[in-house]
Amino acid sequence: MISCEKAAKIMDQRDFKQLSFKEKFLMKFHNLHCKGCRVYDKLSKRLYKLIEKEKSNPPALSSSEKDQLKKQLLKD
Amino acid sequence: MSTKNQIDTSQWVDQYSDALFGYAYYRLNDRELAYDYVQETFYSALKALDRFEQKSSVKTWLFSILKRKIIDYWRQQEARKTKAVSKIVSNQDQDTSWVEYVTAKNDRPEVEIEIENSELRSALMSCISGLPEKWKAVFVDKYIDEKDSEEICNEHNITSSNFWVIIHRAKARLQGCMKENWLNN
Repeated sequence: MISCEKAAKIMDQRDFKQLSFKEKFLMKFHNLHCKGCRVYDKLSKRLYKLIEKEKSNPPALSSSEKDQLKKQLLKD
Repeated sequence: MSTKNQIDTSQWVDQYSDALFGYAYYRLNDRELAYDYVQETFYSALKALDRFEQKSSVKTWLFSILKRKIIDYWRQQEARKTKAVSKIVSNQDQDTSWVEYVTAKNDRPEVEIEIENSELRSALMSCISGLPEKWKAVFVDKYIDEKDSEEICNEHNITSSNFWVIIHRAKARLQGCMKENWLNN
């Protein structure tokens, strides 16, 4: 069985790439026997989802803020 | 203004302000401050326009100015930082116990869900801004700006295994920081 470090790395990499079948299997098999990593798995997914949600709604300047910005910059 | 640089600065706000603002916002966790930093970035760039050698694109150049300003800000905040980390988390703790939340969970009005979403959002932002400087830089570069891992390693002068250690520690820290908020969902 792989170590917690290796399982965690696979779960971290999952945020950025598609896992291979082998990686998925090794991680899931490890997590089956490891409560700590199951918790990390769950929280990782939640964190990832939350960040994705945040990114789908990025902060933007309003048009009045942009106008204000333009005015201020023109003053110089 | 020098003639050697034929850069049309009149379009800068339209072209770059949103990207700069988003970059600043995710690293400063403060809308007004982010606005001010975008403004200052434009000011500094206009002042230094003569010295801009066009080795890089205007966009890259503006970002490098903003980045420097943000790092300076982080350094200034370093001492005060520890206090700010759990502010939102503990605030919410006082306002509503999670038991109340759980029992009220069914039949909740739309507005309430909206509020909860925005609370989660601001908790996330606050937790991110509480990360140590280097972790924060690496984490936001990767998760928000979706930069290449290799590029991040080069920029921050770290090895690939360092990179994964930082990602993992930042995630673990954020999970701990978010835990209180997640109890409510």
